[in-house]
Amino acid sequence: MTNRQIRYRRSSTVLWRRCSQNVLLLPRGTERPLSLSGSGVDLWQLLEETQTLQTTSNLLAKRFDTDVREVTPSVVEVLDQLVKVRAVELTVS
Amino acid sequence: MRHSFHPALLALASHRLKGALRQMPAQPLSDDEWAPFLDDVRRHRLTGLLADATKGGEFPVTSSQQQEGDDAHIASMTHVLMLENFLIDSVELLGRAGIQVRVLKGSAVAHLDYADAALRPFVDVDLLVRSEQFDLATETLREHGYQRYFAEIRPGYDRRFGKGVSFVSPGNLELDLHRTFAMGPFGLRVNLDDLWSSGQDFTLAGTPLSGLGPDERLLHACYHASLGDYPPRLLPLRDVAEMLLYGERDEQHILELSRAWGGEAVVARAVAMAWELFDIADVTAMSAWAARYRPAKRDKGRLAVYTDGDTSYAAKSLASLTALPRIRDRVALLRMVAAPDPGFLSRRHRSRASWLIAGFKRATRRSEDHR
Repeated sequence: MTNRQIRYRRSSTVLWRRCSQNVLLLPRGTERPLSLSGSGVDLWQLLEETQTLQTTSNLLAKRFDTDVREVTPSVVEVLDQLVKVRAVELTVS
Repeated sequence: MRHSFHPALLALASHRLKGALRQMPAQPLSDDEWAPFLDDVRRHRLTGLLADATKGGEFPVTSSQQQEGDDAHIASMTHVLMLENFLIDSVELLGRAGIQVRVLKGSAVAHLDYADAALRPFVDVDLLVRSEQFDLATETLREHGYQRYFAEIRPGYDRRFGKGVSFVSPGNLELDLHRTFAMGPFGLRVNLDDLWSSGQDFTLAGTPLSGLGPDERLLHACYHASLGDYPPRLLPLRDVAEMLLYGERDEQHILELSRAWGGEAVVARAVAMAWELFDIADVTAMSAWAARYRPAKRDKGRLAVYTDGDTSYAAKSLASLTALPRIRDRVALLRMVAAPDPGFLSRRHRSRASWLIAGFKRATRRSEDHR
């Protein structure tokens, strides 16, 4: 039985800058930049490398010293939004 | 060098430069000082350095000043991202027409010369194209809705004698299309083949782009810092210092090119200004050379054409005569300047007479020691 995993990483076609406490993102084809703040900035840093949802949630939970079960729903929500605007791409392997 | 820069502004512009001795303020600026200071930070494109210096605590600020500085940086970087999107679109557009392009200043310098591109804001897109493709490039942009700010003096002027053309896009973003580094005599003496003999690649949003080679990029930074604005803007001077102190450059090659281009006075002025204004103690071969360099009388006169704030477009055009070795080019330039197209005149002068008077009035100047 094949165990396929969804992996996330920054899209190669997104323009971005770290900006004070925020990260500004502009996926190609989007008119106005989007802004990530707080833990969204940490998430963006993690996505410099390809990550699974589980790894991402574990790392953020550790960084913020909290339970991974509390973090995971928020991570799912942010990742879904970033995939939707094409700032993050996902692969299945 | 005489200047009126606020000491805190110079300290900020030299933030993170190794060997720079300017001292950051010991305490936050007063409310009366802060507002004009922040205006200067924006004007000199130092919002990235301010954000970095306040975040690290090197530049003390109150909480409201921190917020205002951060807001200025966010606004600046928002515009930068939109400009990079526009840059890619413009390069692709020109590429489809077979036009070869080098990215100048802005995005190229931010990504190739700064450890953190967010430290290096910019407000427009600058592209270099070859002279023989210049007319095709302007026509291609025009066909896609880009509008020139100013009409050409006469057909053929831009391709033969001009520095470049400024456009505004349908999305209201500015693109400066360059043929050489500067208008006037120093721009005409640049050997344009040298600018295309090497390049340095970088990638934006997955799109491969090409900037000038490292040595040519430093030379362009020097031309821009020396000749671009009067009084000089601090960010271009920061570029010069950043490139010399941190980049891998062949200083001997740079000096050879500047000599071949007749641009030693330009380069020396930029490097000396950067070293003096930022009070940099570290010495490089070029900073030592610039400190010793004394321009010839003729070059002092040429520099004065750029550094006198009153010098008109007409005067700089006429000063170009000294840089044209061929009689037929001088005649062609004179004809174009003496009888510009009405469309060009209507945006710049009341009449042809006032255009000519402005040109002859400041065509040559006695020099001052600006160092």
